[in-house]
Amino acid sequence: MASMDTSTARLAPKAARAPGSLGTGDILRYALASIFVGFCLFPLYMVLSTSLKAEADIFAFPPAWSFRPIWDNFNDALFVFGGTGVMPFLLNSVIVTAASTAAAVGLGAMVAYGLTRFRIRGGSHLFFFILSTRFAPPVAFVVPLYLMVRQTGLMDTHLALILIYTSMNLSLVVWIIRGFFEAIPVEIEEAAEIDGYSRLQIFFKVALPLVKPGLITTAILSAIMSWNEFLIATVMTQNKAATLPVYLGGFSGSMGLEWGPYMAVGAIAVLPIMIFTLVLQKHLVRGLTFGAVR
Amino acid sequence: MAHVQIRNVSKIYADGTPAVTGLDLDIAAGEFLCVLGPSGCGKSSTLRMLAGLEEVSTGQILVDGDDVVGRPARERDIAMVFENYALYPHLDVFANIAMPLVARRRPKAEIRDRVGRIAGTMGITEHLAKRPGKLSGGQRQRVSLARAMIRRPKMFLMDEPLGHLEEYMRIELRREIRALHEAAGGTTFYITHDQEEAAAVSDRIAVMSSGELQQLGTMKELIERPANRFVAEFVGEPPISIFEELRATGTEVSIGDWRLPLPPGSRKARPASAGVRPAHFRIAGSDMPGLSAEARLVQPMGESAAVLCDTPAGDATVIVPMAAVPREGDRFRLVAAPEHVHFFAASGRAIRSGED
Amino acid sequence: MSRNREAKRAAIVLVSPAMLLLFALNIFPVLYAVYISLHHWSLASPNPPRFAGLFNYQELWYDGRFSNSLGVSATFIALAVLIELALGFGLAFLFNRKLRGLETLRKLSLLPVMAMPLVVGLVWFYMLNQNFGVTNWVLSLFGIGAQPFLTDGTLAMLSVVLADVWQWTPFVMLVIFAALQSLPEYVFEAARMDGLTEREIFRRITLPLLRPAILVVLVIRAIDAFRMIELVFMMTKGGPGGSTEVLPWYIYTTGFLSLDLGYAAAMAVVMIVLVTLGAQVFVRKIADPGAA
Repeated sequence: MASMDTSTARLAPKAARAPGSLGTGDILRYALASIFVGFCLFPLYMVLSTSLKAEADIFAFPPAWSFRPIWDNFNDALFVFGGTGVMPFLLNSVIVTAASTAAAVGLGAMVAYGLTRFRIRGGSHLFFFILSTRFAPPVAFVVPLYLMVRQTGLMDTHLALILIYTSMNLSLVVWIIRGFFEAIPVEIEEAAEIDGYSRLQIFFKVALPLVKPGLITTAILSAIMSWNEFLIATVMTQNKAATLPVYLGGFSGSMGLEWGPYMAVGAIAVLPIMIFTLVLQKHLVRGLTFGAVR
Repeated sequence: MAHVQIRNVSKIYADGTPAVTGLDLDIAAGEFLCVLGPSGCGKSSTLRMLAGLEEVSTGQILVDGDDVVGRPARERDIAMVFENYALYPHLDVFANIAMPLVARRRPKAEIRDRVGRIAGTMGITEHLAKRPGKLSGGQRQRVSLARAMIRRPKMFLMDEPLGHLEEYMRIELRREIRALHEAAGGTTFYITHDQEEAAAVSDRIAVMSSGELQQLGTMKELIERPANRFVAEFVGEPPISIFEELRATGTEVSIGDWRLPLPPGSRKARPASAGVRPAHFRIAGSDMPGLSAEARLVQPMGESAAVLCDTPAGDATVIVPMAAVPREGDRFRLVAAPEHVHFFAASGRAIRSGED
Repeated sequence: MSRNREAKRAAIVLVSPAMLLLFALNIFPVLYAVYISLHHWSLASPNPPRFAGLFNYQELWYDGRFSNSLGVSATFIALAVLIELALGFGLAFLFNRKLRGLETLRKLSLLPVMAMPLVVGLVWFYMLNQNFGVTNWVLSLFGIGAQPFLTDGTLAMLSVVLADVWQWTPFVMLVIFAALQSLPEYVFEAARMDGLTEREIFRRITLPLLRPAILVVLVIRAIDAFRMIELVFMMTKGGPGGSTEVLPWYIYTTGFLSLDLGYAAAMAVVMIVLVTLGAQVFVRKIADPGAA
């Protein structure tokens, strides 16, 4: 009964045909969808295939569609390229991503709960302020932030990136998790209050476990944002705390020479996220469409 | 107004679930027909096939002799009222009511005039500029009714239009729906699972169960001459008392210690169960012939009370005026006129005097 | 402790850490940016910053490179967002049918959205190479000669737009698709009963009901496209001849290559003002979703 399909196309009276058989319209639909998905996947395939190609195949024209894959580029990317290879930067990325995600989700959940469950004066203004920080363009904030980081002696430290990323992700976390908290009946928490829990205990032991799907969704989105961020990282870190995008961006001037290892670094930066995206796409979709659809 | 004939219509969904099986139903021009049945009985599928929202698997639907199967909804000239009102959330009440006329490209002045008039009839004039989201459930259903009534379609379809409303609103609106039907002079096909509502609005009632028509008739006929055990049990409040253990001996049948003559129609089919409506039982003294009973529970219902009794044949319910209510634990006999005792064959079919 | 006092204390404990962080890293930087923009503040100069009044803003007024970057940003946003919206809208309807396999295809198309923008720039830079790039190979199949995608002004802009469209069209599609799925079936049934044709249903029902979602995704995309810097960094470095020098790129090079922080801050302030105006539309939409 509850068909997924609400397009106007479906509303057209259909000639009765056996269930399972395809009309020409459906075939056209598959064809167009496949072309689009092919367009979406092709550049990702190029990242991977180029990173597995020998130099001659990389510069081949017409492109070398069939080639003998080699692992040298990945070896280069991991341990040699740029003197150190990607490893130290990979580690920095993991540290910064993990810490800033945990902080953003933790702090964000606290704010979201505080704003939904307690009547704070000006609470809705506060909420809209947090919401509006979603639009803060990093490039406009990077000049004052750069001086602030310098003056506090946090240049080229993990902490600087962790703090900034946390603040950048807060709005998304608060925004999404607030929706989840609003969906919890107050009675559950009132029951806990009668059972003798304090307000903070209710938050940690009753409310938080109930919004776990929201925490997962926002954690994924925050992590991907932190992992991918380039501009702030390249300004605030040079080598000690530099993340993967900083390492990758560092070669952009000398491009054209070592495509193989360069693409291998790209593959290392992108592939984990792609796998992550496919496995957790249900959570992602909910987070991405939040606000436009409720 | 149209004469609608449903001819041997079946609906099987893509996943193989049969929703309606071999349905035959004639709706006279100008008739108000209610379809009554439990959820999942196929009444909604039937209505949606009439509407053109659902394809007919096999069979014909004739509107004034014309087969409309395969025709899209907009070519069938049918108006529909939905259980959840189905108002356009982005349009104000005026635009909602006007939509059927807009679709038919009526001139603006005429639309304004007709919407104004129907809004007056439905008592929603002051809401015309509001969005449906700002209205109460009752007001929304009035808007939905106004949208259906704004034109003179061949047929009105109503899919549990009062299902989401509160009791007092239901009673008020069903009176209005009946009045609107008479004023519009249309043919109305009305679905409900509330038998009181069905009795209040309809000319005839079709009882459906598991995709099949069980019986078609007036409420009186359904109560007095149920076609089968399902109808007997589904229609009537409080529910009929059914006795499963019968002993038939020659020309007689016993319900517990109550002996009755076998109904004439039982030559072919032996009665397997019997039923008596609570209102048709009377309480008689213990020395009278009848079903011996002991009052177990008295449920007051205003001027009368339903008394639940233990009998040798199982539970029985009798309606007694408040003044004559027995006390719990009292012993007496239950009697009923033979024409009020319904016998059913093992298949569930009613065994009637004068039949077969 | 009274129930109210406890509630108040709990609220403060819950809300204040995040608020402190946002104050330090969001509100303060805006004020600080204004402060910096009112100074001659160069990291290249040995002298300490010196108050300059509105000097930097006056410079902006006469700076052809600044107005060019605003124009380039506007062009980029308009092209990218309109193409993404048009494609995403059509694709949302394309995928809005219950057919086997279509859902899997839809899930796969989500991948570009999550890819690191720097790598997106990298791979498109590679694919658009004039000599061995796959795009020129595709053109050669149609008998078109090799195009200088990244060294011709117009083509360079279109190339950056192409990379952005690749990354974000699936997002637009996803949002409109989700909105389409959330539309109540019964409204369409009512429209059919009311006698509307398919085309009228689309124009009078579907489109207006999708409008809020379209507006939201439009504003999100426009504001995010405004901040885009990675593609330019990887593909064109603002060139050739400033044809892809979007405002963020100009701010970045002014601040961190020319080291003129005062001037960069003035541009940042202008950008914050522009984004704030754009975001107003969005926030108001969220505040009152009923008003379409």
